[in-house]
Amino acid sequence: MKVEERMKDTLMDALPDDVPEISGRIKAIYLEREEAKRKKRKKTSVFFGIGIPVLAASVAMAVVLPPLLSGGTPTNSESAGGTGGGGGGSLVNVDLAPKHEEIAFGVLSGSNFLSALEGEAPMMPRPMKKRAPASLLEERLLDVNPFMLTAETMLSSDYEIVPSKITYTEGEEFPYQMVIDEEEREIVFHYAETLTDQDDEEQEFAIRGYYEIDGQKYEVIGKREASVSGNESEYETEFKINIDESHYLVIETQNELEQTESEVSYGYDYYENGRPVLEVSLSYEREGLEEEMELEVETPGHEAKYLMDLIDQNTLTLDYEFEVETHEDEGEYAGQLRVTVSEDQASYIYTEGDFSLTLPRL
Amino acid sequence: MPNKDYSDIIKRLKSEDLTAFDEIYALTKKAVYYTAYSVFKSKEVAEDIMQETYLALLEKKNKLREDLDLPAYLVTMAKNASYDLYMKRKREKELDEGVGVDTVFDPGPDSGLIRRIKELLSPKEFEIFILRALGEYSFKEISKMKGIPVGTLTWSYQEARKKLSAALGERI
Repeated sequence: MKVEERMKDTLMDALPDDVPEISGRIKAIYLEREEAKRKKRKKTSVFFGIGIPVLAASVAMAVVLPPLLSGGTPTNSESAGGTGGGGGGSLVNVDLAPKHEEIAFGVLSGSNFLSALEGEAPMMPRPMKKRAPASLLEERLLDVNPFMLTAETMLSSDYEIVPSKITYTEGEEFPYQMVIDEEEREIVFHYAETLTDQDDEEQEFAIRGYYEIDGQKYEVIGKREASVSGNESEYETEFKINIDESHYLVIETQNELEQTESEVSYGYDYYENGRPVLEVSLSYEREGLEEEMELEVETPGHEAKYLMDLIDQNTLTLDYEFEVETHEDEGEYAGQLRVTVSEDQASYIYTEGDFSLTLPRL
Repeated sequence: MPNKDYSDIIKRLKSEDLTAFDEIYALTKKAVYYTAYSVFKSKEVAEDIMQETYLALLEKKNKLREDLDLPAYLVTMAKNASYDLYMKRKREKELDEGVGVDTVFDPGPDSGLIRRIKELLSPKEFEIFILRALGEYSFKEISKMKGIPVGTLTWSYQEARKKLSAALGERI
């Protein structure tokens, strides 16, 4: 036993044993939280179980009263917490709840991506203008880092809560305004949507508008689809964001919910002169209490796959696998990195053995 | 020396057997409590950190590796939670007003060795010694919490160790 360990044991032995007995209280809080989660899941499944008639009602109302799609009461301004709960049993919220959450998360993660491209955090790989990485791992981590915060958020228990607010202004070209407040910036998605197709189980909307991030505007066109069948539901959105004349980004989101399973996936394809130069897919799957987060990153000549797991509120593990085809570094690589959030919460510290790299936490 | 095997108790915890939690609590509560107490010297705050630590264990139980050194894991969680809370309060200037932090490390009666150590060391040395030896905080962390340069800390700690070694011999 090391000297320090022995000393700690000695000190511990010298301290009184009568520390607070709060295990009963802790278990009670835990069970109460679990019960609340179960109720939430049950509410979700019941919610979708009655989805078809309710959806039909909401479609009918949407056709007659488009403003109601923003929430249920035709006010000019309405906020929603992003939990998907909104107005609970209100019929029209059946439509709003998943849409709001899906769009908000897509907007936020897309904005993170754009911020990286804009050079606010200059670590985004740019295959046409490659950086000189210190090592292969560093190079791969430059790919991964812009998605770590999204992954971390999705893995944390409150991942679905994106603090956002939707307002509706009658008569505007883009009547919906989704505002996402972050500590250091404000993201606004101005958009209009049109119902383009529907049947008993599905609705499809066309969306057009623009992102506004700290005054910078990006044109957005896209669509969203919702389908509900029995206890299963599926939501998809696809946005194309025009960055400049030669670059655009396509963000796809997909959310499938079943009785005890859910799967959320995001795809980000970055195009330059019409050709994809970065393709990323991020998928999160939950079955019962098990969670899995997988990230795949493909750039010309490189494909990499990562599995992420949250250990505690400040630590993740990142299993990686990638193959290098260039002559001098040819081969397959695999390992596990530990990712720690820095004390000031501003950076990720990636470590594996002697390797350590700090990158901004976007 | 190999770590004790906690795989069975972790398996039971993962299967929602809360008697496993009771056993884990009984086994680790003292270490978790004093890890927090060494920083805040407040029973109430230490209790809050205990609660946060064990709740996190329950909520993350399905992610635990079965070869985990459970006591070390819980102590690290309590240590990190204490450090984060301390730094948060420091930023919020609460510490300047003494909110939530007692000034004296006083674990109560029946702690003769701790009282003896306290007599042998200066208040500053005692505080550094407790944070380092009992709370297992790094010099860098103590430096940030207390605003004392790392060099001064390491020197004070070594001085404290010398004094204790001379007075208490192999007891410490």
